[in-house]
Amino acid sequence: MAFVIRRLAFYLVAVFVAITFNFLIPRLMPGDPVDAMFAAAGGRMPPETIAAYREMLGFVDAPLWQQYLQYLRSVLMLDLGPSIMMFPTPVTTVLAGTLPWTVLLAGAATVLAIGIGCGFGLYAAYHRGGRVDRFAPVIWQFAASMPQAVTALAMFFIFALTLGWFPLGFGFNPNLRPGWSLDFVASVVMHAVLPLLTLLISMIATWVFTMRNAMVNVLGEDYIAMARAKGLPTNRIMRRYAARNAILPVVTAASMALGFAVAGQVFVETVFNYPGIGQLIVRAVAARDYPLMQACFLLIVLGVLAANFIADMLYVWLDPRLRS
Amino acid sequence: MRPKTRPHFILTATCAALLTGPALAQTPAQGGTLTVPIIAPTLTDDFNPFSNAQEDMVRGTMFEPLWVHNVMTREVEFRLAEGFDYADDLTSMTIRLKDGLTWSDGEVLDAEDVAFSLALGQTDAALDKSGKWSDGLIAGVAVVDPLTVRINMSRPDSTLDWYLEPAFIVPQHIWADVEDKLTFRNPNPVGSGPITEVVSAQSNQIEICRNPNYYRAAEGLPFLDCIRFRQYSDNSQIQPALMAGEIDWGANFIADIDRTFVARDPENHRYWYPPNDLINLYVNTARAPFDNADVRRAMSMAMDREAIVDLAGYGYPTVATRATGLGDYFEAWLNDDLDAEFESLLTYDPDAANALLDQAGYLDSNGDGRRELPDGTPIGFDIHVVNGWTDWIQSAQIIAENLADIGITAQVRSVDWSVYDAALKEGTYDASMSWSLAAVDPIQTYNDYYHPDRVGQSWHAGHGMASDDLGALIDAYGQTTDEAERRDILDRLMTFTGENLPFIPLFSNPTWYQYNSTRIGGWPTAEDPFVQPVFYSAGRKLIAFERLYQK
Repeated sequence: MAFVIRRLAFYLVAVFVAITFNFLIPRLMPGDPVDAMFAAAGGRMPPETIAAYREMLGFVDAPLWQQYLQYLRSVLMLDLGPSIMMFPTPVTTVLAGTLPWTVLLAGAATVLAIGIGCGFGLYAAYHRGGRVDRFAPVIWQFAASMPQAVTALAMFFIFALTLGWFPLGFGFNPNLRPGWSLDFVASVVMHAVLPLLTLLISMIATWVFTMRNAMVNVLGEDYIAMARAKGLPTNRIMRRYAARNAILPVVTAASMALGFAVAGQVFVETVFNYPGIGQLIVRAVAARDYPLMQACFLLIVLGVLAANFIADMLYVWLDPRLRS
Repeated sequence: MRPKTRPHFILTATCAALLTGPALAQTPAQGGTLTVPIIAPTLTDDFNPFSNAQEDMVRGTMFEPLWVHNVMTREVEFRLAEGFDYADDLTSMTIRLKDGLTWSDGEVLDAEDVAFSLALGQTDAALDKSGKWSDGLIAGVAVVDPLTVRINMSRPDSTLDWYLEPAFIVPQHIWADVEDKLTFRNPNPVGSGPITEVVSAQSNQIEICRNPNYYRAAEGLPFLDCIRFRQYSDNSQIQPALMAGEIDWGANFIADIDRTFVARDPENHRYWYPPNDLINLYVNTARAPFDNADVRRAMSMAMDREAIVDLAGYGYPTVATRATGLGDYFEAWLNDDLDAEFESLLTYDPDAANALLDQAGYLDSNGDGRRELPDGTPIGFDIHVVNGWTDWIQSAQIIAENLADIGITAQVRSVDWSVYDAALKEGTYDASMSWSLAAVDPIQTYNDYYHPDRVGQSWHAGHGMASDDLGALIDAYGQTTDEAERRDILDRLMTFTGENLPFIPLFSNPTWYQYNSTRIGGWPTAEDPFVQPVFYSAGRKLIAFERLYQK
């Protein structure tokens, strides 16, 4: 219990530090978002109008500590202000519309990658020197070493633009109404195929290696030799003795992967115009949309911390030594 | 005094008929949907013409302007207004509305609505789309009778009509009760334009269909039923969408367009890139060596504009051939005699440039191949370009190479937008590439170049040549309606620019415009340039939209 409380206290401090950096970093960047916003107006806009916008959006020359207190309060109240790019839409509305898509894509990709990757890893480790062990890791590693942007563009060019098998972009066909109809669900699936494949190609290798190496280590342990000597069935040794211990490093890696999944989707979402947070971050940074940027980064930080916390708890459950 | 519009409907019908071929003077049938791209991270159901959410979607389609200045024809095309007159002393303007105007909810649109909409800017600078409350020109708005509005001005001015175009007319019976007009999402929009009824609104597409009470419905307008606005995050997504026929109207840069877009269906995949704003190399005439006009002239003559346009601009821009500060966009106003006088300044001739520099005393005294100032300091400066604006970065690189040929050392410096922006506004640059204003009238462009009021405010007056004399000359233009007098002022400004060359014209940006005529006909083309085909101008988009029809 003491361990859990210590960890909780640590995460609270980490969240506070993250929020503070989140506040400071955009303000240390040069330039003013309101100027960027009206770049297209070609200087025709009178300075009074620009000043009016600046005041309305909260870019006033208050001392930094006042702005900071204001920011802390708004974070606690979950009132993150209006987005500048999409003024006056509140940041929370924008995020509510994009977060589910990212969670869907990142979640599906991470779970599938772990499942497929660990499967390969497990098989390769148990059949060391076999065909799978010799080729699978190499092939996956080769696929993963291509930059994700290149993979995404290649997928896009071949399967969407040239062959026309899959749509060019969006999370679903714009001419359909969202709902639980068969058409709509099928459309969502069709639109997710290429982004998902791209993500999988770049992710699976990690899990093949993590699982294979962890398994190979564990399989060399004395208690496995003991189990074999006792004549236990192979299947039982694999699953009850070896896999359970080999899974510990996988849990750590998985928690990190889930937390960073959002950031890892930037290229894929941009290429396939997938309506998620990854591409939103890029646009927000380009437009200097401070409120939106801060909200996105806050979300990522909280995601990473939450995933780490879950991993900590899983460790307590998986590893009895931590409980004492 | 003001050019009258042609009877718009007859023109529409004949034009459409000409394009459809043998069907003589037949009005196209109604029906069909136009699909256009909107660049936004996501679409929201916000139909407020004053907010930034998706102004391109509602301005000009749902909310109409009073009139549209058609730069292509140099005419005013009247929309809600039937006409306007300035008082003889130019201190007021009377706007006459068309009879029988209605809102999409069936209410009558009258002078009260117009006065209400124009007065919004008086109390809230952010609603002042004309900018003329903020600068003190408009003193008040009064309703004369249900079809007449008078705007009183604090000083004589004959140019107010240019600035009223982006002032949108909204229904008083809805907006009067809205407390915060900037953040109002206007969920059940009522407008006066051809399309007002929101059929579906989701994050990747918003479909808006015909106004049941459109005041031009009797003429059969609009021909099309609906517009679908599709969300794309950037240009690079619009290119494949155009190639695949997902959208009908593109307004963005498309790489290698002849091969990637036109070649797929030469019959229907078309583009037309009429000239837009003029791009100049602005130099800081307060600093050496730019304080010497001969250096500026020599630099201009050393530039190979054809190469810049072909290599950096894929051949789409139009080479600048006039030293008078105006590009082909203002073709209707240009003075060919004056332009001929300064033509040599924009003709690529490095030998002449070298000779001019030698003569002016900028020599290479130490023999390192680079010229020095007369006092012996080597010449060297940065050319500012914004990070990531690849075509401009390449242009600046070619310029630097051209300058190296005449012994002048310049480095291309790609900087963050904020640095570029601040340096241009504050005049703290050596040299910087930037555009010029493509407005209703060339005097607005000159105003942006030379008026002392614009120094520190605009990007283009920081070159150090703005003066009170020029400002007074520019102001005089707005205080007369006499064409000859205006012509004279423009000529003097052109001459001043040609003689002094405070900035170096490079090329005219193209107006990005691609269309797919598979489903939709009636597009503006080089052969039938009835309007400048820009999507971001509410009025010009409106004129184009009302010609389009389903094939």
